[in-house]
Amino acid sequence: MEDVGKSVEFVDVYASYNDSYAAENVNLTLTSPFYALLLGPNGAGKTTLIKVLVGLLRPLRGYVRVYGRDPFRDRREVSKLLGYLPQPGTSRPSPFMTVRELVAVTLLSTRRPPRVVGRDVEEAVEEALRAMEIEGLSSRRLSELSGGQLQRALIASVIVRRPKLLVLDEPLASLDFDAKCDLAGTLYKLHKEYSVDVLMSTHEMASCIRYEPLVILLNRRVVAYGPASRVLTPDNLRRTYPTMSEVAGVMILGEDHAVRSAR
Amino acid sequence: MISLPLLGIVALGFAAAALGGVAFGSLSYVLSLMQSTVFAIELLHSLLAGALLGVLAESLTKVVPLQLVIFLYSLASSVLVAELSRRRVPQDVAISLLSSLSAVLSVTSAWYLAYITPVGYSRAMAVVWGIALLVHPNDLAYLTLVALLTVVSILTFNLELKYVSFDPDLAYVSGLNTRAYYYLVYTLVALTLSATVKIYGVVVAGVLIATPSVISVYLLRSYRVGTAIAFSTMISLAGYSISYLTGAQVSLCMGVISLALLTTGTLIRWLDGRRPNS
Repeated sequence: MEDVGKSVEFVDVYASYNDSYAAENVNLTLTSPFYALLLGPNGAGKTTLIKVLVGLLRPLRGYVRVYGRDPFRDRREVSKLLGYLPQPGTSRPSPFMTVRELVAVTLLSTRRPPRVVGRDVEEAVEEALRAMEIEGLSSRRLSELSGGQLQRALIASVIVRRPKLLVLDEPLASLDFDAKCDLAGTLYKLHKEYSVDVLMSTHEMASCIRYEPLVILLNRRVVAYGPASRVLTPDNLRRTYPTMSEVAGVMILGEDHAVRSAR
Repeated sequence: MISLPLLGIVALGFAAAALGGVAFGSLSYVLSLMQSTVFAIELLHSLLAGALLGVLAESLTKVVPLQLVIFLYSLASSVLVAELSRRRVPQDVAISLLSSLSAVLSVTSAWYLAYITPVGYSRAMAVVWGIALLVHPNDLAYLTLVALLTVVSILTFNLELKYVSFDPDLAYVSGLNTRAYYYLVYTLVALTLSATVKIYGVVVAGVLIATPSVISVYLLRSYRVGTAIAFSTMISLAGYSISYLTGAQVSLCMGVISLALLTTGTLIRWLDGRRPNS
């Protein structure tokens, strides 16, 4: 794609679902290439920021740019640049749709109707299914898939369009630890081999930490962001997760978040 | 020996039954796909109100066709529910609001019809129960057009409708105009109802728009639009035939066949579930 900007920007973004701000004064620039994790407690505004970024929620103040494009004004162009994965459980895995159809229609969505599955689409679908190692599931109905299989099918439907940016809302939720590591590895592979920028919100980092991600700590505002080794300090974590536990020199954030405390 | 004019009437009736079956079958597939139970509830109320308002408008003005009023009222109520939901009014509240409005309009129209003309109330009842044995060629022409439009639209946009039903947000971000697809469905539903209510009646239109796809999924585990159309056409034609042979009300015959198929499906599934290793 010609004339594509280099970064994803949030400039002075305030956003809300109800009366109170879910995200406020968010200023953030992610320069390509990046593999970034958006971390924060429940209610920190992770999903809100993601919805603003993909054009599902208009910010009350400020603006977002996706490689120089406005996700609301330039919706068609932005939809070609990004692939989006909503939070698990928000979709209705229908018995009416197969994995192959899901991947094909996502590819066809940026084209004008009538959207016909031609040979080029078939080939692209096959390749995406192979990349996600789910070729065997192509004729399976979405309602017949496990949580992990559905996540893979959804990612296949996103990568088939060869997006510049992958935005994933808690893709690791409800997977077992091996599946989390597996998926985090696959996303990192996409980032490295296909130069796809990745931004994912998550509650867990253990499965991703070995890939040295860029970490954004969020609690309505951006508390800190940068390389994991620099950002994940006890001080930043205390500010991000005010209710976390600290015992015997260790900070406990959740099932897989344990950081050696400075105390 | 059947006389030629009678044969013509019967042929028109069978043609209307077949075409109605095709239109209802494809729509029932879409409603099943979208899992729109609450939409169907709202639809039944608006259908009744639209039909009674239509009879009233026809009786009062002599020029406004019943079909036009049904189309406009069904479409307007579906769009209003959708737009209220988009503006953060909970969907069940929006549906309750429209259903209440429809109920008020239905009762008021029926009462006023009975008040203004001695035959008004019976005309209203004919629309509620259907007059499938007497199909006017103009009504059949309109139904043919609507059935064709419905089937072609649904077959053309089948993949997109599946995607929008799977996850509207995902479909929107991927580049589809999700609102346009919802509006397409509302329009097709309103058109089909306007073309069929006079023939089938409100009661059976409400049944046929919902059940054929449910039956095809339940009995055959088929998720294809073709199977839903086949079931719908079969119910419609069988209902019409039985009605013709026995003299029973067409809506009653179609209702009984739908009920029998659904009961059989439930029984088969239940017995299947009781078998060991099933």
